[in-house]
Amino acid sequence: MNSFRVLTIFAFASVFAAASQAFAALVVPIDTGNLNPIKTAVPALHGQTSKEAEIGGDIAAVISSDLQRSGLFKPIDPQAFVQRDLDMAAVPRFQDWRVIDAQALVMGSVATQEDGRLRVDFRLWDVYSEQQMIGQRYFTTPENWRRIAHIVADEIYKRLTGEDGYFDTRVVFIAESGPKTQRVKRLAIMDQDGANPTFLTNGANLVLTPRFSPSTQEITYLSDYGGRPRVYIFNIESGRQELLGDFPGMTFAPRFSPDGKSVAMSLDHAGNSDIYVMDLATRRSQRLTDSPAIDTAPSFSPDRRLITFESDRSGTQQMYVMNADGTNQHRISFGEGRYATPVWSPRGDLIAFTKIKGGLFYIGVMKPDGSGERLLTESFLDEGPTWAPNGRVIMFFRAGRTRADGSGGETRLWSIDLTGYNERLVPTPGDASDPAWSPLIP
Amino acid sequence: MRLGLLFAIVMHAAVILLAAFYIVRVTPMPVPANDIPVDVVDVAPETNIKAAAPKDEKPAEKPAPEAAPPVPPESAPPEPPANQAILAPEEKPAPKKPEPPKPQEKPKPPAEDKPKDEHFDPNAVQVLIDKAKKQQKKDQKTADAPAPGADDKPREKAGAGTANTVDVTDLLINAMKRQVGACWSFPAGAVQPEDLVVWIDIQLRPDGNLVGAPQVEEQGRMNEPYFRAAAEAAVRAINRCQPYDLPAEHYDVWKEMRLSFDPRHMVGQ
Repeated sequence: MNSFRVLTIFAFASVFAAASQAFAALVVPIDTGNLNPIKTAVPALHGQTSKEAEIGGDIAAVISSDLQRSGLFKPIDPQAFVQRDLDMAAVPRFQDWRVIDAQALVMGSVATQEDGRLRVDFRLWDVYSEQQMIGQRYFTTPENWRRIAHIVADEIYKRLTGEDGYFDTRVVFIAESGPKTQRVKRLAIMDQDGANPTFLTNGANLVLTPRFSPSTQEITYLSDYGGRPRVYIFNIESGRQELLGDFPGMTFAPRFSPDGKSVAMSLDHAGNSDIYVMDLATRRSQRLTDSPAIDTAPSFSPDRRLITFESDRSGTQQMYVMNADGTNQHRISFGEGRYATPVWSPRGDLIAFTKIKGGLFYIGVMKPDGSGERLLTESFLDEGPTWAPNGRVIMFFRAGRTRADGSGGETRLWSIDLTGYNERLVPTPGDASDPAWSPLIP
Repeated sequence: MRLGLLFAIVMHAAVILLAAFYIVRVTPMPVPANDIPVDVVDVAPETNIKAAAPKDEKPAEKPAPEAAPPVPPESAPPEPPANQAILAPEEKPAPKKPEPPKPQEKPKPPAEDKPKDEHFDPNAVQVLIDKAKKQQKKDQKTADAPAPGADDKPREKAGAGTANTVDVTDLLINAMKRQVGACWSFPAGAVQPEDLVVWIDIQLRPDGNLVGAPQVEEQGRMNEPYFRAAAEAAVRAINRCQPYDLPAEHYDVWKEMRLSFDPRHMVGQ
């Protein structure tokens, strides 16, 4: 009888004990915050000699500028820094950085080795958790300090957002100069922040629609060398230009496949444009579309299984998707207006395009099944979107209206985030159009 | 007879335990805020308004609800869209969280506000006003009622509780949401935000400061770059905004918390 009572009491007690423990932690669901950029402190990298200190300051400036232009980071004005005696061998005084609300702190040093190479060390600190997030060391030639700055910015970007960065990349574009009636168009290449612009061709021939190979240092583009507009391949390192197939007709709108081994392009034969894919190794080409309409501007999906292209077979320019072997061609754009220049994002989740409606041009994105269309920009003339290699930023060119007296009509490169934020002008030496973004430089 | 009684007690205990744990897991599911149909637009100004509004809207909105309590929204069609949005919440006087019948009334008034001028979105404004009104009502109710004992009252959160107890929990939840949300910065444009819900356990001292570091629950996912970035952003938010301003008399309720950071409504892709 006694043990029975004890058992009863124990049973009830355990129920209450368990129940009260289950209710101990208050559950708080947080579903609104803000999209504010992460405040980051990037003090100049430390250097022993004045030359090293100068490079250290330049590297910090490039890192700050890259992070700020991405729109996701907000570098803090160096004049606000409290701690000024950072030492790579010591832990920073986090309280000094919390006071200015720096959420991330970059610190580093630059040193010259005996063999003349530059050694750059950097650490990324999480100020509020007081933990080191990244610690890396790089060796390079002194002239190459800009690439190190971009690589460090990419590391910071990737650690704090989870996405691959896009700062260590280049952009190839058409540099335009001269009066509107006699435009000189030259192929040019520059770093994605506008530094180091270089001309690749001399402007004697018309050059259009350059595109970067995703895996090699090659560019494909359209040139009318010899009077016939055809597709060429240009190797940046060797400077060699090579004709891509001798077709009986005009070839244009070339684009590399994701593995860099094939090029998809339009071939115009007797007034009818169709899409072909050419294997670069065997130089054999395969015809993918066979309609009497104009089919052009092909772009591969990153898994190489699908191709999106532009066709006017329905009566107006619209976007289509088909399998990489040409089967299952179906239309995906059904909104008002015309759709052109579809480009598949390297992330695979979106296709960017140019839209023309009511006399205005728009750059937009939509999902590969045609849903979720969003317009990111609007102007008199916005065209030719190209994706950064992480699929988050789009660059395009924008032309102003030409006035009656011939002035105006400036054409410039602009970039915008895929969420529609952060529209920015890309600095170029003069007018520029037709940008194409390179992959991350190996 | 003894065996039968023992068996009955054990089974009762089992049922009570089951009910206790199961109900605990069910109630903290995502806030009813999700039930309100809101058009999340990607353009910058509108997103920023959502984040800032809960603090600013509260004092401004106080006069408006007092002015028009008895008017039901269906009988007020000729009024301009702004007033219709303000009057709509009058249908639901009680706090949203515990009573099951009440949330069903909510979808009706927002649905009426649909065909509107595209630049002014009354649904978005209504969400903010709902929040402000709930906060105001809770402040009034807890000021009137005596502070309930924290040890046995929270158990009644399971659905049969008094209005006072439930208000305390709601008050604390809203206070934490507001304070942590102000510090939580999430990178725009992240891929698959439904995968990036982060659960974090924290303990607080009576002065509102943290005891130790916030603990991310799903440690196994910390080697995924997107999840780690989201988890670190959440931890950073918690660290940034301490000490937390919470009523000291309910310390036993809020000394341990599980926070979930759900970016789905913010990222809006």
